[in-house]
Amino acid sequence: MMTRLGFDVWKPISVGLWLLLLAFLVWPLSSVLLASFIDNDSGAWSLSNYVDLWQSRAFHRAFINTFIAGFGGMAGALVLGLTLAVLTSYWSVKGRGLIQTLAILALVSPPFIGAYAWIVLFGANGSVRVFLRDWGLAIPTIYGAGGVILVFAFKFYPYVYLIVSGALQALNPSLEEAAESLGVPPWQRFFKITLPMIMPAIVGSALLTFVLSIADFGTPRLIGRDFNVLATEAFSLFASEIGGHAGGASALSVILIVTSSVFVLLQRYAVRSDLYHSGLVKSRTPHSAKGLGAIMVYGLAYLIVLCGAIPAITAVLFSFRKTSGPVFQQGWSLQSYEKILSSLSTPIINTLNYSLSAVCLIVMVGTLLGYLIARRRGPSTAALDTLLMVPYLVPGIVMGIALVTRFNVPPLAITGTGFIIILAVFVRRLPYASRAVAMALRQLSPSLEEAAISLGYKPWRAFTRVTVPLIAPGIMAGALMSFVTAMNELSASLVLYVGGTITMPVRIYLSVMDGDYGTASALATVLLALTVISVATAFHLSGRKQSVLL
Amino acid sequence: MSELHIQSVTKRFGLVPVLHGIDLTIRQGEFFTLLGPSGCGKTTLLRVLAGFLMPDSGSVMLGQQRLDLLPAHQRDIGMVFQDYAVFPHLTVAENIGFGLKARSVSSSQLRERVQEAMQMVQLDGLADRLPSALSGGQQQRVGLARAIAIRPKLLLMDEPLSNLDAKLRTELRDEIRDLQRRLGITTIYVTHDQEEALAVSDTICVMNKGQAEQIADPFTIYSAPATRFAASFVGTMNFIPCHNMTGSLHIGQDGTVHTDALQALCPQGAFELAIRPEHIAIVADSHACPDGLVLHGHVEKTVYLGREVQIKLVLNGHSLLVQTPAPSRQNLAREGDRVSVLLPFEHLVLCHPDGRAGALLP
Ligand SMILES: Nc1ncnc2c1ncn2[C@@H]1O[C@H](COP(=O)(O)OP(=O)(O)OP(=O)(O)O)[C@@H](O)[C@H]1O
Ligand SMILES: [Mg+2]
Repeated sequence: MMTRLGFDVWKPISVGLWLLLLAFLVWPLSSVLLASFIDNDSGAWSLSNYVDLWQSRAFHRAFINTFIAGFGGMAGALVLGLTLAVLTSYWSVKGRGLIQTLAILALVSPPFIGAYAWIVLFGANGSVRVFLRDWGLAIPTIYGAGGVILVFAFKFYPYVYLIVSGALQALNPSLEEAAESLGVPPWQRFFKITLPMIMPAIVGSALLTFVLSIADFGTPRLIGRDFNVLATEAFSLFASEIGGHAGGASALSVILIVTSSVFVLLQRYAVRSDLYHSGLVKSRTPHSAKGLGAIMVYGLAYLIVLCGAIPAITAVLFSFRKTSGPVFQQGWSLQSYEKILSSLSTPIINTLNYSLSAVCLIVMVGTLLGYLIARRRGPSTAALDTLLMVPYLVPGIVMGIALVTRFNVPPLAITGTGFIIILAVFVRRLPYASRAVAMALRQLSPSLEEAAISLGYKPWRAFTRVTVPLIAPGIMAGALMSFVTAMNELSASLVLYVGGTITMPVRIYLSVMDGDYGTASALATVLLALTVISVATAFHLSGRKQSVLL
Repeated sequence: MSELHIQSVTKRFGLVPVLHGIDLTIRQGEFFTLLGPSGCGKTTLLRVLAGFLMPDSGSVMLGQQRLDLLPAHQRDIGMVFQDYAVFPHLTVAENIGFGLKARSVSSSQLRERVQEAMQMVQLDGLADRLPSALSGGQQQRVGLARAIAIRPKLLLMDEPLSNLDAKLRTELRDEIRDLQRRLGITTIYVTHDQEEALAVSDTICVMNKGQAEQIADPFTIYSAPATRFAASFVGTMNFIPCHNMTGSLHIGQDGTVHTDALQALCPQGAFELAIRPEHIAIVADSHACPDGLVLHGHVEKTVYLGREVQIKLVLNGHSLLVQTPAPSRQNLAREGDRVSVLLPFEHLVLCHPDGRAGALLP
């Protein structure tokens, strides 16, 4: 730890950050933990909430369903993502840029848009289903476990694709060539040499998709129907307990946190080191496929990315369809947009307001945190770094419940205001920002700042004059990605919103629940457009590094 | 005159002591080099001087001023870094003027001083380049110009040349030396390259394990090392284990000589005799010499280097490296040849078991 003479401005900053995290992360979450041990009726300490869950069939079902959704989503995402990664790494597929763009589009489009687009196409009266029924072909509806898994697979496969193709690119092709020269045939080469080397990436991305799947709320809620998972169950319990103690919802939240913690920690363990990174990376020369092979390669690759992009495309197309009330009609019109502009501008304005405020906070606090973590090693910062793991472990719905139960009484009675939604986004996204800053700083020599100090700048000015401008592109890219998540946040906001603080995702969710698909499509398109612009800018600012997206 | 006095400075990281009571006095305008192996604490000492580390005890005085009580940014110390630390977002001129901006220097004067500094390090014409468009050597010139532009009281350089290739290293080394002479800035230079240290320094401090082993001018450091470590670290040195018991002097593992002259100069018990390869002469077998030690052995290996030959001998079960000007082809020693060598007393260094060393002749 560096000790400087005179006043060290980083000491009070570190204290301030500790207080901030204790107040807005630890304090609210502690309410969930405490409430889970307090009996709803008597108000005494007890395990009754856990006992009730233990005895409830609904809970058993939700617990099992959570794992079905998690493993199902993971398996689907793995199959799609791995296939695409291997295809595009080993064969020269034309339009690689388009494939990447479509994959990224699937990645950034909000999960509930996915769920709802699939309903529009394959729901009870979904267009594709109706179309096929007219031709005498009856296919089952999207509702239920199968639909949830399908949506997860197409939603989360880009993580596997991006992470695994990154690992494949980092792999030195000389290794495979060496095996080839030793006479190992191609298939064996892949399974004996390549696969073991990219295994950490595969396992890491698989566990990531698992964690994302079990934390997702919108998808099972919208198309699960009777397929309840822990996240939706926690929400229902919370809704039924409103006004009283949220003991049941809290106990369920604790179980959800513990479950996702196990998998997040496993994931951390899987990706703990990039053992096989070689310094001498020469790029692989992909084969060009011919004849039937080419049809297979192209067909498969484009099928995957197009299916993944269906939700986004559907939302855009349907937003321009003529409607009468909630029902789509033949022909095109701007009706839905007129409607959202005339009567639904509040959610749009709210979303922009809250997201921008949250991002400003995230950038300021995240930069300071990232600096402490990267440059002031010590027991206190190490503990801060560990504490920042917590938001990764807490599903949005749980964070919402925690905030609402802690902040509905003075001194900080902000429940029902926009602040609490900003706070939720801020706390959830902060670790991503501070990690991005810490990473950018680790690539920057500490002697730059020392040079400025030796030239006569106070430590704080050295930081603002030298370090900040140098990590600014990284900060901006991180900020835009935070903006994207902030705009698309559904689960916590759903717990936290009241009439006046409704956001776009919540409005879309409610419209879909009401069957008002026209409005949902138009709002979703606006959201998607804002998202795509932000992501494209972030991508550009980060020097086209895909890591910014993950 | 403002001398720099470093007085019993100690520093430990956790429980590991890194500097054990360093005492140094550096004259105004001196080019002072800290030379030592990796991990001996050179950088640590430099960072204490710069103010990036607090010493655990001891003081640093520059003239009458307690330097160690000032925060780093008020010390007026120029620093040149191993990794250049050139600000990548600023042009060459902006980099060099960066320190002046923190001082109240008028903009016309600033331009003038940046121009002057650029000329001194031969960067004229590159004012508007960004560092990414500069070679490593040019970047380090920017680092140097930036440090001298603030007219520091003290210039610190931490292995400034170690990331450059060999040719550039010698070139820039000489330039740094000339510039330092011209400006008369007191300079502390860190290196682990002994040749570099010998070439540029007024004074060298050989450091080992957080301690100053010897502080002297380059000639003394090379010819009269004060410790066994200094003898072994700077240049190449042969060490011959010896044992002096009443009546007989054992040299190497199994040789015994009876040279009253030598025996009189040696202490009792075990010690080592050290000698540089270039001070050993190959002589005729029958050679007898009153002021030198003659040993016999055979050639194990010869390495021909053009100007000179290196011969590795084995005598008394002990190996000895000899360096002589290359003789004619016929006279080149061949492997297995029996030879005699002369070790003049005047070049022998006596190393005591406690690590001290000194010339054999009083
Ligand atoms: N911040 C630190 N924390 C703990 N130990 C440190 C720290 N900085 C240096 N050390 C240790 O102190 C010792 C001296 O380090 P220092 O950097 O001064 O060596 P050096 O002589 O400059 O070596 P080199 O030639 O490799 O640069 C080393 O053993 C190093 O591991
Ligand atoms: Mg060093």
